[in-house]
Amino acid sequence: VGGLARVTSLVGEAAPSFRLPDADGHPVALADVLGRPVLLVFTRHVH
Amino acid sequence: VEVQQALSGRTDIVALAVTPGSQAELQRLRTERGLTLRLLGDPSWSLYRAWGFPRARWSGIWLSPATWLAYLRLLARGRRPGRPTEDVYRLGGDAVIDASGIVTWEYRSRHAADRPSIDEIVRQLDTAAARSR
Repeated sequence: VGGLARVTSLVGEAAPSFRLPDADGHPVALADVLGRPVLLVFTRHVH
Repeated sequence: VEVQQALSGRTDIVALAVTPGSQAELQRLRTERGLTLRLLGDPSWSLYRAWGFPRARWSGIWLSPATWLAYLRLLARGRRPGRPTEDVYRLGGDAVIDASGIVTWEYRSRHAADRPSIDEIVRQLDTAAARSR
């Protein structure tokens, strides 16, 4: 995961890069899914 | 689940749900909730921090009806709530990134139960999709 901790809006800036595993363990990177708009939903709960 | 339903059939966008869960927790979530939305695990909360999502006050978590509702749902399913993860006070949010990787919209939750409306999420995605054409 790229980028430092921020407290200000990121609108208009490049999104922080990431590479995180999905439920099957396959890594998903931001660069892999660009080309279409991306919605990121950051949930708090895993229950 | 509501987001998943609202975006069902959309092939012009990519929807990803980031959770602080482990792979096993993601698999359980997917099965129990019947989720088709792609789930990404961020147990270290690193992407949350990279986005700068704020940390809630103690009262924003433990006095929030949403927190206790979540616990009650767990108990109703016969499960005991687990120990809080390392950064239980970190809040979430939603963001739309355009096709080139630029953030076009973000919503930063102000407390545990604060979420944007589904209509607003869809509207922001439609705007980003229209720009991409």
